[in-house]
Amino acid sequence: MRPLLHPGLLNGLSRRTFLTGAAAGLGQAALASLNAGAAQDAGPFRVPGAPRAKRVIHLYMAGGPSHLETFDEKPELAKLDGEPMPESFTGGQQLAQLQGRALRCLGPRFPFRPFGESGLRICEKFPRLGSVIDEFCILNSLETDQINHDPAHTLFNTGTTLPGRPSMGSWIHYGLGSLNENLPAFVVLSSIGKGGQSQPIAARQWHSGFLPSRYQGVELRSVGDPVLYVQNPAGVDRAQQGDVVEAIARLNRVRAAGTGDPEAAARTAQYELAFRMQAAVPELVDLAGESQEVLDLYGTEGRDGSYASNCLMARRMAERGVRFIQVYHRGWDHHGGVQRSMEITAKEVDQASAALVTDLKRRGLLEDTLILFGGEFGRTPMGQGDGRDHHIRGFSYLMAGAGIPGGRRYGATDPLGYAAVEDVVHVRDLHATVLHLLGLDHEKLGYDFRGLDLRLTGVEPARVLRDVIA
Amino acid sequence: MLAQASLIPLLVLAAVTSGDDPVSFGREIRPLLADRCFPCHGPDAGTREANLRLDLRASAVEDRAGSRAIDTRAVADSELLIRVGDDLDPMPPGPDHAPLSSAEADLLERWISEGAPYDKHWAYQAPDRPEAPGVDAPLAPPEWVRGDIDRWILDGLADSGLEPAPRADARSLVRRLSLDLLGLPPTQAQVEAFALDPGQAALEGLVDELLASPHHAERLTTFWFDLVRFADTTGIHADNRWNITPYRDWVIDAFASNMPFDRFTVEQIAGDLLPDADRSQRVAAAYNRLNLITREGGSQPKEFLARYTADRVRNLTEVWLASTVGCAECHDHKFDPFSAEEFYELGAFFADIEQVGVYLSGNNTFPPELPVPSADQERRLGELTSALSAVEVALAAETPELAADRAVFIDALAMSSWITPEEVEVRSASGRTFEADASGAWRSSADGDDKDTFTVRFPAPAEPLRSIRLELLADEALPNQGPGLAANGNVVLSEVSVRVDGESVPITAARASFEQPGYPVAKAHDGELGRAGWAVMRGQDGAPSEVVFDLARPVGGPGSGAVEVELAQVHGGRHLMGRWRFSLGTMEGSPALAPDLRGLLSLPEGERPEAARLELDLLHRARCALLADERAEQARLRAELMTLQGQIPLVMETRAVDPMLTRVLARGNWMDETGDVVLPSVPAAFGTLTVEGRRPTRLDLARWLVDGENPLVARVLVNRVWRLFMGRGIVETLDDFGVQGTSPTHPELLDHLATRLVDSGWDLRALIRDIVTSSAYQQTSAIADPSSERGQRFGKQVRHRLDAEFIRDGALAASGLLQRDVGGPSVRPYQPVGYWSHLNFPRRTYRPSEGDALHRRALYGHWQRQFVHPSLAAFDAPSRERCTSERPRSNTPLAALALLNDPIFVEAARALAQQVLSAPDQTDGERVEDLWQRVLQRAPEAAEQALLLGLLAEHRASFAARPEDAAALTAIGASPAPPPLATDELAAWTSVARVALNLHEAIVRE
Repeated sequence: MRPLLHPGLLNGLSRRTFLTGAAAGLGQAALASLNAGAAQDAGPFRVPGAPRAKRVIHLYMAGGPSHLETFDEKPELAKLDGEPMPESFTGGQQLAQLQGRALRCLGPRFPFRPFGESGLRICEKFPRLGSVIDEFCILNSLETDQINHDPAHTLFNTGTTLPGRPSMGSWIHYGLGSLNENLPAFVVLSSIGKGGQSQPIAARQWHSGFLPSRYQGVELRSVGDPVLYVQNPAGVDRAQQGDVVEAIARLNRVRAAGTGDPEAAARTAQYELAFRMQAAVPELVDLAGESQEVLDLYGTEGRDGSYASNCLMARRMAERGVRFIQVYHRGWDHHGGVQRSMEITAKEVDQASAALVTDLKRRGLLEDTLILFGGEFGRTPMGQGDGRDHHIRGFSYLMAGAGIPGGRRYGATDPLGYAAVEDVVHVRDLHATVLHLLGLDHEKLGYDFRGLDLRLTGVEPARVLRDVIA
Repeated sequence: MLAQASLIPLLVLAAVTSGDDPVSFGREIRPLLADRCFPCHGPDAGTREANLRLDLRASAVEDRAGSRAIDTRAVADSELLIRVGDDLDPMPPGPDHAPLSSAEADLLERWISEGAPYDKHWAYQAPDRPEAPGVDAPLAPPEWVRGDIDRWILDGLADSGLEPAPRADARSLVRRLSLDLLGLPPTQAQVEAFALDPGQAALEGLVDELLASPHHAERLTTFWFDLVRFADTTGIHADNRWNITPYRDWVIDAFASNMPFDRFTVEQIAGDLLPDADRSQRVAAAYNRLNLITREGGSQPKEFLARYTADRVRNLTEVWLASTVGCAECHDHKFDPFSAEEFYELGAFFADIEQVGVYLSGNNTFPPELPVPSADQERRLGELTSALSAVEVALAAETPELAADRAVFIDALAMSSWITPEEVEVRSASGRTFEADASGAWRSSADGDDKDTFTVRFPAPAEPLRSIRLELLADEALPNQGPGLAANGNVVLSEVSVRVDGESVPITAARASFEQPGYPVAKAHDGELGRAGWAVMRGQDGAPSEVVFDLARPVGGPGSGAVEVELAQVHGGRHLMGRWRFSLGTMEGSPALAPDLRGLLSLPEGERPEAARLELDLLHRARCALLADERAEQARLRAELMTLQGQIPLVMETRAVDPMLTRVLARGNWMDETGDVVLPSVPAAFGTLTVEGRRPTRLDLARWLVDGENPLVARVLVNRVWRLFMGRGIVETLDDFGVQGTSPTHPELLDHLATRLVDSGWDLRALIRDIVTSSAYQQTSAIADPSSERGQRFGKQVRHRLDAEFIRDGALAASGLLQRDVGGPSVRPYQPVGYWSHLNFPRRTYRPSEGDALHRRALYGHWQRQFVHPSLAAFDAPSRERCTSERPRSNTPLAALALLNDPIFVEAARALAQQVLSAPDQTDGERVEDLWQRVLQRAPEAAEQALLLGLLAEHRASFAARPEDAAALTAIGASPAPPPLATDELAAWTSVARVALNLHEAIVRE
């Protein structure tokens, strides 16, 4: 038997009490906006010292980008193009659709070239990312345990494949609280690419699992209501909606005075918060204030659900205190025609990803924003026809911001890009590092559930990538 | 959240025993050892250090080279105490493990000096049959004690010097009973009747009325579905819909008929294995198909078969045993006595279920599946089948008239002539080439596009042409021997069109010697060019077929020009004619005749082979005027039968086959094939399951669960049911009865209820009735007592927000919109556009149901595991990917937005407004009161009344100024607004009704 007390919940309570007190009238919306909930400078989960990052933007390349046509240059593989894959690499390994087939090397489809002052070499199809490559550390040695999309996403987001576990954004919201209660702290955006199959994504990927529901990720949608049910019913204007919410609030208070039910006040506070969110969300998604220069930088014309528009939205959320922003781009499942597909998909993400880095930097936000760029796994050095199959033994990720020294490379795969062999980074190591940069100790950020102290990084040892962040 | 925080004093309570009482191993020592010591000195062999187990007394007291971890004779020499107290190198080792406090160390020392008694964890011991305590405590009047439940509750309160809370007021009590038992608010009449006679007898009468309602069964079904993870979709990857709803009806029926829980258990786990299992029992066994399954390409079947097994073990042990056996999938359990081997032995019970690892069947088909007709459908099926056989008998009967007519028919057939046109030119739209052979048949080349159109062009013949015939012929060189170029030898003829001198000649009729189901020849001349068409696949290689198209007018004769016949074949996948013959007919209505039959026509009847004779007979019977009525009747019956069969619901079935091999998977790794093969068995901690001379089955497992000897099953169920009505479990950790779970606050009451349940023949309804008619249940929740002790002692009732489904159901009930039918297929409520945009394979467009189906109880709403309906999810409805014992009860702005703005709640508000406006000649004040009664079953206070009238006046004015907005608001929802109401008035009242439905009080059970 262990105490079922969750420190994060106590913080939640105090924050809620604050809001209830502060928001006695609807006119006080401004009071509860920026920094209302930033009361958790110290907490039971914190690592000593000031955190390096306040927020995370995860540019999530769903479908599994080929590391061999992005950030991991393999000249040896080019030499073996069309030759049988040496069995010393693949014996006894799990494959997905290639299971049981003859395995032949597929050379990288594009040349790499040096970029930036660092001269880091990446695929020439990513010239814009190349132009800001000095901000990035390229991790070439990731590995994961799951070879199919749904379980691999679940592992990447929650640290396990069992359903019912919280995702990284939920853990972070739980551990750090919110910077702006008028917006969700964990927001998910997604776009669909034209270069590959757009594999489905489950809401499990942003679920709060066994953590309280308020830590759940919220989708910012490009069609219909930007946040579900955030718009008033047809015919009801903001003043009328305000009347309704105010009447609810006052009646709840009248009633609570009689029953002494403390939850009534908490409910009222959430209604008032909801009403403020009804103003904050439209303000967030209204791009009218963005200059043409900015729109051009990202390569978007407005809120159209494209990756570019979502990247711009991510910057706006970073400015407004959203803690964890996950931008899915569903277009990387290149089983066939990796060359053609990569041309398309690279074009879809290159400019806007680079623009986000540039834009955050010039606004002074990059220094305390962590940017992650990568997918749930990589792709085989062996061809699947003219495409590549799923691959879990070695793939690449990019990290930038949060004071991470850029223009560097960490870890390596073997000469054919099959297995990570040097400074291997398991997904849970990445998790530990992300938490660390936010000032959270991955071994302390836990929650008691069914008698177990559960953590994002699980029970296997996970390490903070000190060489990357130093 | 508050409930969680209030647990701390419970632990304090447990840790402090008075100096006189012996230390309790179960309450005090085992939890301590489990938390600090078992991780390295417990059940898990994989992490065990120094070969020491502190969970087994024998190991703990064993002599190890002169020292013992626990030494009851020389207590101070116990290595355990020495190591725990070692300041320099304390156990458990730092820095990751918290050292023991001095109070904890003292407790250990006292326990050892008392002889270090171990006993079995309470939950694994058979329940006692305790005597109910006497009620001499002067804490409550004697009539407070309605039964044994109240005796124990009072006794527990007495220990803390607490009196029970006063009885709740009549209105709260009726609301509580109705919301708890039905998931629906009461009516004003129910509340008023009870207020007039609030005695115990009246309460029991009301309880019996509610327990007999079908809505009570629906309410319990929602409870059960969270446990068994019922949903409409597969849960993994594409999250496809599957066939499951008959199982929901079975569960509702079972609760409605108060099926004994032992039978309820056996039929779900092993209904298919019961001797002479009837359909209902086979439907029940669909429980075994509720695990998450995948259709994702590239998934390895073996991996997923292992997952399915683990999923089933996890669910069964969570639901029935409240045990975390699932932890042993990868390693021996750290705290509880389950080994990994035992996990896989449980899995072996499910090894007989017919299934595949990766379902590559159609999008929504997951065989095996069982048709489950309703009683009406079953009856109609019988009627249709017998009517069909009657008409078939008539169609097969031989009469002299028929024989004579047949002879005439065959003669005509033999006379009809088919000519092969001369100077034929055949072209392909994609450059395919054609080669003619001596028999006049064409061979199409293999190159060219997958879709193609062949054009046959020839000069009009001298004799007027009435029909066109195509023969599709077998050929060794074609895939599957043809007649088509597709991999399976099939052909789809999409569309045939005829032009003479450039002028189109319609086709009036077509006949084929064979039609593949779903590909009738009519599709080949319906004017639509698409995937549909005439196809000929019939499960045998290279079967020839023939089709005849009749022209609207005779074509040709002297002076005519060229005829052009276009044969479009655009199905794709090379469903193209591979070997075929083209000919022209001069007889009107020439039948289509299998080509090999035609040569036999000229033979005398007696010399035709039997098969040909039969075929010609059938051909004749299909056309002769003498049997026209019977044929029409047959067609009608067949069409109705097909429609009916399409309407009969299916359910995924559990069908037993030879069990697959079950191995222990080291660390859960499905690729490791070195683990021991195991047979079905139950974990030793739970008892034993013995069968003689055969492999134990799911049926044995199910019967073992409910044989009355299992120490957990009845306690676990009682605890869950108790929590439904009392707000918290007697064991607070509903799904963990292991050593890491909490101890029961009222162990004797728990055992009493558990044994009583078994003794009653697992009468669930009697258990519920006992609880909700107790005085303990009837206490008020409105009592200001900040101590959590009162809560643990059940010295008051609890307030809590309603579950998601009941918030929706309640709004619909109050507004009069609720459609109260019980059972049936899932329905689709309104849902925001694009909510399913993350789904694929296939992409899905959500179409809401129509009419009444939109207003059914939420229980019937389509449950998409990966995207649960957003307004249910906002109120914590679980995804049902796994067993959910206890939903969180969150309070978020997203929930507020859903209740404010989801069209179903806006529509309910408008319908509610219509209700209160429908009474003539009422004042606004009377209408407000009516509205309050419908939603809250009470009259408004003066302050409430004034506030609402103020809102009403403001919105009357603002909507009157914006009539189009008033119209827009009142048009929300599919239910019609009655025309006589002025929309601005209705809109203003809709605002008032929205306020009512959104009140805290409206969505809380007190």
